[in-house]
Amino acid sequence: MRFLLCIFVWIFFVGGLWAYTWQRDAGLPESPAQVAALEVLTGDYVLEITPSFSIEKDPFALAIDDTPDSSGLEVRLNGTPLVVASDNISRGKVVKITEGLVLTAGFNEFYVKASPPTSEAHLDHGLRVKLLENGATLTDQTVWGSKGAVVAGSVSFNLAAHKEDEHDH
Amino acid sequence: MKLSFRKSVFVFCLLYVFLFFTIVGPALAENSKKPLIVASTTQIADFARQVAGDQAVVKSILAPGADPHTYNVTPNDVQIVLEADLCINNGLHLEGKSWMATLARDAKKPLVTATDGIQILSIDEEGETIADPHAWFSPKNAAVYVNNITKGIIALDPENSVLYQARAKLFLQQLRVLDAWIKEQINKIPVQKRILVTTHDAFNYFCQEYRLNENNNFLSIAPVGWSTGAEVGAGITPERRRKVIDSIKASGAPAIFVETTINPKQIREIAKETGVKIGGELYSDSMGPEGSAGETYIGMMRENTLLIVNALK
Repeated sequence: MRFLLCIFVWIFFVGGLWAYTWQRDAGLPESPAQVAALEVLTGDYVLEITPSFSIEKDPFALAIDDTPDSSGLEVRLNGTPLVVASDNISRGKVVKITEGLVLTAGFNEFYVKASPPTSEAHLDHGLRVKLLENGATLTDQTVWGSKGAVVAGSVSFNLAAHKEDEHDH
Repeated sequence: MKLSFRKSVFVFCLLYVFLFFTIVGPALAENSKKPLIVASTTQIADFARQVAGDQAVVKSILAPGADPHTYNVTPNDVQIVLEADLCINNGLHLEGKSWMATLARDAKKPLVTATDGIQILSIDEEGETIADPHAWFSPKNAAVYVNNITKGIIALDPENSVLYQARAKLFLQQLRVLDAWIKEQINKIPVQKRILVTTHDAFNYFCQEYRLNENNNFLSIAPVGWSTGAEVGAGITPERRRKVIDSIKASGAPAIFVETTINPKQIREIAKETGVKIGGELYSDSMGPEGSAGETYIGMMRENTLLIVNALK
């Protein structure tokens, strides 16, 4: 009798715990909380990227499908890839990107990645990233890569929301 | 009412079985769901582990220190391959008599050949052209291995493709840094002293990539051919031995090297005959045992490079 009582008590507590966790989880919303809508900034933006090296195909890149080789310069804005013209990106040549620059008020981030020639593994290399609005510089930062490594990094910056009265003019 | 001892034992067993199937059982099942990847060599197993992570179980047929050229398959190997979901070999006849391909074919298991698509280095032996199978000695080729293995693992388990790709990308960049680091290290050896003499012709890709043995067209110098087995161009010949001795004397090589997978007798005799020192033991066809510095591909390449640089500079 005592043994059965033990099992009953055990089932009672374990069952109770299960019922509690079940009802607690059932109360959770199925989708994550709605993120406040971000204010998309309109303006004449230009992104300029200047490599200190001639970009070449990375022999150490992941190549698991038959997609054609990209330019070797990867640029993302807030996680979204930007289209980069793939013609000969050489040392010191400024690559300008104007398409797809959807910037928002507040925090923004560019991610850049490029492969320096493996024959220049003895040199440190960098990518200068400049964002301009109507010719004025909003951010100007350089991402560095140490000897032999791919040059990759994030450029973060904050943009102020446009004032209402500015739209009136 | 009091339960009898037998009834108590019965109830206890029932409870135990219940708990086992509800708690322990699913955990075990989770583990047994993992695909099994069987690689022929330790290097390939390391590449597969870097990509598969904890999503798969990776086993190597060869133990650390074993020679793939002369390896004889055991009944245990047959059993392992029978349980495998994916087999990976090096190819280019590294596995003597293609033992891994035969095992996979007999067990009807998918086989990935890790060297598919590499830029093959051809060597002329006894009037025949041989494709050198020791391609992993160039990290750029190792990247091709990793890409082929990643493709094979994704085909096996497409659901976890994102994880495999992420791991592969990280490892490939580690290979890139390794390549740059080896270049920097080899650069410390005076150009005239960049002479690499080893037991067997395993280091052709390494010599080509890092510009060693200029006096031998940037190919490896060794008394034993590309294989320790019985294939064309394999083994040791008096002419080959004489050529190595002449090469050491002419170049003034400060040291020569033995390999972990091959009997060092030949190299020791040559060292005695030419009066050069033994620079140390290089990992060649196999990585080091667990717990050693050479238990991973990057560790093996790092230790080999340090050994070569310290002995030759």
